[in-house]
Amino acid sequence: MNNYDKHKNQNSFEEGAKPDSGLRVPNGYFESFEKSILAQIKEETKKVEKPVVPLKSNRNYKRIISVLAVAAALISAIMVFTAPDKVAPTSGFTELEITDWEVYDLDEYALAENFTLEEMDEISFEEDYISNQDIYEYLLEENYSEILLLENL
Amino acid sequence: MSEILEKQITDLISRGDFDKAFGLIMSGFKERLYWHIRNMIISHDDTDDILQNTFIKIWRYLPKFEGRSQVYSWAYRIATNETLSFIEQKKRKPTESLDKEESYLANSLMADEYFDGDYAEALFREAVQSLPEKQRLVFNMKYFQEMKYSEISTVLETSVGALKASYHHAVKKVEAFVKTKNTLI
Repeated sequence: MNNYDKHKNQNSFEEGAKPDSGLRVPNGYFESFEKSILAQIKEETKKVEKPVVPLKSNRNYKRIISVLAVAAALISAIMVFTAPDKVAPTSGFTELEITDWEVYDLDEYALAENFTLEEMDEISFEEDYISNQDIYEYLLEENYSEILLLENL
Repeated sequence: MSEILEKQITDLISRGDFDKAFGLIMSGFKERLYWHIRNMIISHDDTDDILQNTFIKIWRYLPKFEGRSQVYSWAYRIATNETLSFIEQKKRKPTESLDKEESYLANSLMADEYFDGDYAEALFREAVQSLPEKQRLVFNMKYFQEMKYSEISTVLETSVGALKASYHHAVKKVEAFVKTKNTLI
């Protein structure tokens, strides 16, 4: 008779009987188990009572940022609505310096619209800054013949 | 499961006396839950760890217990989930494969200081361990713990019909396993 037959004859699980489980528990295990669990719970309760707050908690960090953002928005809104109106200085054509004209690249129509004839006479144009002598010397340097130059000047 | 104990516990919970309720759960259920886990895991040390986790969870979630199910089936469910999680975790460790353990279980059981059965019993345990987890749960609850199908049904949230079929298959597999092993001896 092999082990299985022996086992089956003694304790057939098909008949509802069961073999001895064979598993043992250390002596006094269940008594000490309760104490061990209660000790763990006591420990856990202490932790709950004294929560450790991390110095750099993500949640705190986000909270601080959101509070700062709201504060900044409020301050901006207050400044916009309560500050005295400041009119930005505007410039007209009359205030433009002659040198600015080049920058603005104004054409003669724009100039005519914005300046009187007297004012226009006062404006010194670019060619006035170059004397005939300067032109003559320049052309000489560029090998134009003196005769031709004298004819044209 | 004692209905008087169940009522005492639910009364204490409804009064908010969780410490006393927990004390009753622990004294009333610890042995049954221990064997429920031990029959699945076999090792006493692992069972001890799982049982501790189970009771810590029971204590933690007791204030949230709404009485939709009986306390004992709720406690059993926690123990079952803890046991299955443990098995899953162990499966993920390649060096500690359950398959390997199963194939050597009978021999290792014989060397276990908390096992005093003979080789036939060790072989029988190995046969049970070879069952798929859910089937093993059903087999252990029905065979070792002698729970009614209706009780197992509440714990595992499975129909009685499915449980009966599962148990029937498990018995056949265990028989076949033991026969095969014995012919090899």
